[in-house]
Amino acid sequence: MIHPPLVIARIVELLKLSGVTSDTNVEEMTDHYLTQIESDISNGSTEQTAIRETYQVIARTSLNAIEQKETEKGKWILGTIVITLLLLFIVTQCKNSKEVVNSTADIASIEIPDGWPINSDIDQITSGFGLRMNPISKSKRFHKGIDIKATKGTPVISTGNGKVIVAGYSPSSGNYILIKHNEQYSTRYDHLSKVDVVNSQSIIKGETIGLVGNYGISLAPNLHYEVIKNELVVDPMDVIAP
Amino acid sequence: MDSNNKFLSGTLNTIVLALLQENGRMYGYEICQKTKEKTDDGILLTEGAIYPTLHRLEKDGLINSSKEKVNGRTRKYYCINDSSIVEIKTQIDLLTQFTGHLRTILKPTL
Repeated sequence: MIHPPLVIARIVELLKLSGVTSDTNVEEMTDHYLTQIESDISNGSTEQTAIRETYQVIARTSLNAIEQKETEKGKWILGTIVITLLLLFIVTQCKNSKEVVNSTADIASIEIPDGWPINSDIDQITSGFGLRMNPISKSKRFHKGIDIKATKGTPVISTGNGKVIVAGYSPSSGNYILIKHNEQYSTRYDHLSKVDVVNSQSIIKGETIGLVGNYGISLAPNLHYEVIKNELVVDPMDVIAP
Repeated sequence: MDSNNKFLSGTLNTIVLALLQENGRMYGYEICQKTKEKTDDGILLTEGAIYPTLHRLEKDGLINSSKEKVNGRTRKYYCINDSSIVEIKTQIDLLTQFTGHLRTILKPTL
């Protein structure tokens, strides 16, 4: 049967009062209660009684669970996102304020390793910093430093004062040296044919620390040079003094 | 009715799935009525219980819904999702087994 619009409007109103708010749920529940009215009528009730009783049922039944199941989950997700963002914000704020303090305090004392890492007359950069086509894997990879072409045995020199943290070997880097200059800066020198320093050794700027080689994953004799600032690699060309 | 509610909380999903499996597609009101008829008014499902269950089952992919115009209004029908039939059968089997166990335990006191 077709119900008077007034009855439908009243049911929708009662549903909303009971906490059923979304359109799809209102539509589904309206059909439910109109079917109820029809069923009551076919069981012998008058239309008026059936309608009145159904109104009472809607008002009596707790229907908020119909929405809650979905909205509660939504609220949780939203809440989690908001809290995460808030925490991130606080953390970055704290970090920033700390950094400001540090940098103002250390401006005078932080020495940038701004030297040129090699003592040669070629000085040709074969591969720059950043995304590049890796010459060996032939895939796009982030290049953490610069590659400087040089003949094997060319002296590699420290770009700043510091202390050797690692004088070691890795399959990809070959012989390599990692020097810590200060709280902010470290530099790294890869593919060496010879390492002239040992762990914990103090180094002065311009000192020869090893020789260029072709060890590790490397196609031709070259020096792979990295500058690490606050634990992140940065473009050495931005650091090296002009 | 109230005393049945605590048993329903863990079994309503399976009741709905079993009814849908037996009857093909059904709408919410129909499921309430069918349960009432079958159990001789022993289990009365409220709207506040049946619709959240249907929505959850649909969200979990166990059942599908479709809408149809009936008497000038929209009716939402539910049916078993065929790709979940194995999972549904397992759920029904597990509950059947469980009620069997319950019977064995409770029998002596009958």
